[in-house]
Formats: sequence, structure tokens, C-alpha cells
Amino acid sequence: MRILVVEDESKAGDYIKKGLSESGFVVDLARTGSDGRHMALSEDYDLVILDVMLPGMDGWRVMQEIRKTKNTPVLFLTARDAIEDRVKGLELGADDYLVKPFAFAELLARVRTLLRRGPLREEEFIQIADLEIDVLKRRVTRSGKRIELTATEFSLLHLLAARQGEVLSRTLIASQVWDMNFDSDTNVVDVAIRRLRAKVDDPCPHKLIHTARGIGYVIEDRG
Amino acid sequence: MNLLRHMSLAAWLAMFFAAATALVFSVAGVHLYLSMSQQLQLREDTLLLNTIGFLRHRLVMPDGVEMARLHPDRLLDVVLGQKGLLLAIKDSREGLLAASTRDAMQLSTDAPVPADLTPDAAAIRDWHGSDGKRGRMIAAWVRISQEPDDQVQLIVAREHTESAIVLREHRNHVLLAVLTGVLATALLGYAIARRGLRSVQMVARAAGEITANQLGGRLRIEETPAELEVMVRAFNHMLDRLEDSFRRLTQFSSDIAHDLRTPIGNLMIQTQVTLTQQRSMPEYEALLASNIEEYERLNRMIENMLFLARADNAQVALHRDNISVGLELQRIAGYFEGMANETGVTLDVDASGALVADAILFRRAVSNLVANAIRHTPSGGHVTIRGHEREPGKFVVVVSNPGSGIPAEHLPRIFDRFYRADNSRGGSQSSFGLGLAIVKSIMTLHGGSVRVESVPNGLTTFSLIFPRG
Repeated sequence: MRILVVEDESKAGDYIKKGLSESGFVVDLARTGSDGRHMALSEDYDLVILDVMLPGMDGWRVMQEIRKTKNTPVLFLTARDAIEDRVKGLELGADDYLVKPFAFAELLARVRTLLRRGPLREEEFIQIADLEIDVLKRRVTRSGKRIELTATEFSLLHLLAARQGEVLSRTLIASQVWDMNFDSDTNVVDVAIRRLRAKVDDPCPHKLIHTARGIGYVIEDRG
Repeated sequence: MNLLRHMSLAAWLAMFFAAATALVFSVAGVHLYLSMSQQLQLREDTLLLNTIGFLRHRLVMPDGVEMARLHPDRLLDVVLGQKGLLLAIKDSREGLLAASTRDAMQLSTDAPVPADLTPDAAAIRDWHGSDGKRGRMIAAWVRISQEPDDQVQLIVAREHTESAIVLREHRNHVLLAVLTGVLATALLGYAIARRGLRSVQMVARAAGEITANQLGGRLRIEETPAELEVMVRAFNHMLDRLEDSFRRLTQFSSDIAHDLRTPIGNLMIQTQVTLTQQRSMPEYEALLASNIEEYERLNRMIENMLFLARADNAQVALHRDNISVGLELQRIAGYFEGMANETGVTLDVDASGALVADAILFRRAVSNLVANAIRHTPSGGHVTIRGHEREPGKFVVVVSNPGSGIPAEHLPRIFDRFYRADNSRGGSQSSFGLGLAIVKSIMTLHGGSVRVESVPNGLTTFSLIFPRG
């Protein structure tokens, strides 16, 4: 999967490139709007990540130019979170936007969603090592033993399992599980994870739920 | 028009004084003039009646008859030498017998007084002579024998010469008085207005001396005239409010600086200490992760401050929805349940009804209150979340918790930004003293309000009051 990042701020650009490369993407970096437009039009990318504030040619213009000939998905980054800005971006044909500063995990999640193309297929049965989740019957077993979960705990486990291997930020978890769409400075998510671990991981020596310090949580079988 | 608008208040007042004086003096002057001219006419009419009475008397004397018959012109001697007095004598068929002047030849009236009646004012008529001469005249028949038809008509006229001069002089006096009076009042009025307005200038000067650095200055009520007292009071109140806002703003800026210092200080110290020598991989990782926590803290702080700044400028667009309060409060309780259980706190929800509000902001406001309540509830305590329509048009959401309570002296200020009752700059879980300010902003955006009551070692209760609709 090839991604073009158009970002003039050198530190941010380098780290986005590094982060995405380490997550398995092939990443090209453009430092100016005109470079970005040229690369986006001459090469075939699966996704363009576009900063709005660029020297020379701003992000809106670059996107308009790309949209004239290509349908490459565009995710734009903006430091201004005024509603008009978002609306403008989406009207111009952007597929998603992210307000700076953002968590890298958040960017990665958005990128994966955009590249997945089409809605996420709901799996009815998820297995991670010896953990089995029957989504329809809402039944969870570990090594064949039934685990009783509350509704919230099940939503949390299902969210992590459906995106196994992907680090989910606390904000994303709060928004998906409880529909709390603002940054609260409480440890609600940590507490919920701790309780889930107590039921899912504590009885077993082989742990599945991991903390990505400073980023969020992930469920995966690390052997 | 522009000139008029920019004219000084004193000049305006002087002008109005002068106009008012001119009006009053003119009315009085006209009245005096009219009554004077009436008096003069009355006097002239009396003279006229006297003259005709005398002439009649003269004719009925023994030689009078003969004089009338043979030498009517001798009668003219009576008027001779009397300036402005005219006389004409006519026979019974109105034929002119004698006239004192050329003008006298033209004299005639529509109502000569019959011979057997005494002439009175009703028979007097206005007279217009040649060359614009004006005056009064009267005519009367005089019988000169026993024959009923044997009579002559006397017509006497008096020209207004004397009275006209008197009247003209009188008019000039009145005009002069009016002009001097108007001028004098204009000047005096200007002086008085300037004197009176000096206190306004004093107020202006005092106001001019107040600057942002010296908002403490006030205008002195005791030195202002009664009429300006209301204005001065209003001005002082405005200064009070400005000073308060200004003080809060200054406090706010220094609080921001202070609160930014804490995470930045942490970042600097931990990073510098780690970099002083070679560390193991896990130590570097721990540092970076710890740094992330501080960054997130800074980020949340900036976001909250931005929210408050936008809410202040009413730039936050409300997306009003009909929300089921019971459902919303249950959801919020569900969100905090784990956190509450950790500290042995129970959440009780009791709610009914629906209200129109921005769902996300509603959650944010209630969540801030619930998070605070859980933090301050001792283990084993109950946090109560209630939502009901108290009275028509007033929906109240109440969050209350037991605990040590908020000291009364802090209550009026806990909704201020960065205000913290406990004054300690808590750990990474602290709400930076912005939580309650945000609650207040959200309520203001909804046209509602927030109230707090706290009993020491009893219940602390926050009420969100939403107007209906």
C-alpha cells in the first residue's frame, strides 16, 4: 500500500513517514504543495495525507488539482478545527480529516479505515489464541471456559478483538464504547480495561490484552 | 446640520434661553402695544365727542342759528389752530356748507347722530384722508329752528398725529427692551450653562484619568450635582465590573502560565535527568511514555481553554436535540461505574422526561460534575444523579455527593477558570480547574444556569437548570 504524505513541517513529516512505514506502508513525503500535487498526479497512491497549511500551494488547491483527474482517497490534516474548515474540506472531496495535534494511533486507525475500502465486515466469530468470541450469542470463552461479561465489558472486548493488533487510543475507546465524544481527563478507560483483564487475562498465564504506554490498548496474541 | 450637532451644550442652552426670552418678551410687548393703542384711541374718541358736543352747543346758542344760516364758515374758527382737527358743515340735504380743509370736504359717515340724541362712541368711525392720513370721525345733526327739517350736519374728524407718535415711540421702546432682554439672557444663559456644565467636564476629566492600570479610581459621588449622580453611579458600577473582569483576566493569564509550567517542568526535568547518563531501553521507553502523558495533559488543557474562549464569544454552535434525560444519565452513570466502583462509590440515577439540548455538551457538563463528585466522595458513599422537570419550563439535573464539602468562602468562585478550592496542583488526573468553568459555559450557551450548595461534612449539590425549549 503506497501513501503520499504532504507536510511542510519537517519533524511532523518525518515522524508520520516513519510511523506509517513501520506499520507496513510504503510512504513518500512531499514538503510543498506543488511537489505534492506533482507526485500525486504522476504516481499511483492508495492514499494521500494532506496538510492544509502548505507553502506555495495550500492543501485545498492541491486537493482540487488531484480531484480533477484522480479519485485517490484524501485525508487532510488541519490545525484549525473551526467547523467551516472541516465542512470546506469535506465539500472539496476529502474523505476524512484530523485536527492537529492528533494521536498517532488515531491517524493509523483512520488510514486503515480509509484503505479498507468499503464498510468493515462484521465478523460473527473471532478467535485470538485460546480466546473465542461468539459475537451473535455474545458468548466469550477462554480455553473452553465460559467468561461472564457485562454489556460494557463485552463491547470493549469486541471493539479490541475486531481490530486485533491495532492500538486503540483511550479517546477512540471512550467514543466507541460509551459514545463519549470529548476528551475527559478521567481514568475511566483504564479502569474498564483493568476489569476486563481481571476476567479475561488474569486467570491465564498467557496474556492477550496489552498496554501501549502513552498510546492506548491492543489485543493480540504475542505467542 | 453638522454644525448644529457639534455646537456646544452651553451654546445650545444659551440659544434656547434667548429664543424663550424673545418669545415671552414679544408676547408681552405686543400685548402692551395693543393695550396702549386702545387707550390712546379711547382718549381720542373722548376728545372727538367733546369737540362735537362743544360745536353743537355753540350752534344752539342765540347767535348760533344765524351763524349756521348765514356764515357757517365762522364755525370753522372753532377748529382753527387745532392741529389735526377737521370740520365740515352740511345742510339738511347734505350739501356742503363749509369745510375747514380740502380733506374736510370729503368727510361723510354712514351714521350721523340724530339731532335729539347725544353723540356717543358707537357713532365714531375710522377716517382715511388723503396722503395716508388716518384718524377718527363723528357726524351729528343740529336743529337750527322749530322746523323738523331745518337742520345742519356737523362732521368732525381727528387725525392720529399725536397718538401715532406716542405709539411709535412706545413700539420702539418695546422692541429695544425685547432685543436687550434677548441678548442679555443669551449671554447670561451661556455663562450659567457653562458654569453648570463644569461638573460634567470634571466628570469627564476624572474619567479620562482612569486607565487599565488604575481601574481602582472612582468618580466621587459627593462632588457631583444631583442630576449627574445617576450617571456617575452607573459609570462607577461599570468601572466595578470592568475592574472585576480585568482582574479575572489577569488572574486567568497568570494561572494559564502557571498551569502550563507544571507539565513543562515535568517534561524538562524527567528528560534532562534521563539524558545525563546511559539508560537501558525500558528506561527510555518509560520516559517517552511519561512524556506522552504530559503532552496529552497540555493538549487537553489547550482544548479546554479554546472551548471556553469560543463559548465566551458564542462561537460554539449548539446542535439542539430532544434528548431523553433518563437514558443520557444512565449512559453517563454506566461510563463512570467502573471508576466509581474502584473507590467504593455507588452511583444512583433517578431521572425522567426529556429536554432540548446539545447532546454532546449535555454529556460533557454532567460528566464533569459526576467525575468531580466521584473524586470527592469517601468510600462507601453514594453519588446521586437526578433529572426532572421541576416546574413547567425548567428542567433541573442535580448531581450530589457526600463528603467534606466545599468551604463557603470558595463557593462564589469555584466556577472561575483555574480556581481550585484545595489549591494543590494535583497530579495528571486533575481537571486543571477548568471543569466547572466549562460546565458554567455550557449552561450559559443553553440559556440556563448552574448552582451549587454545600454543607460541611454533608451533601455537596450541583444543579444544572435548563430552560425548556
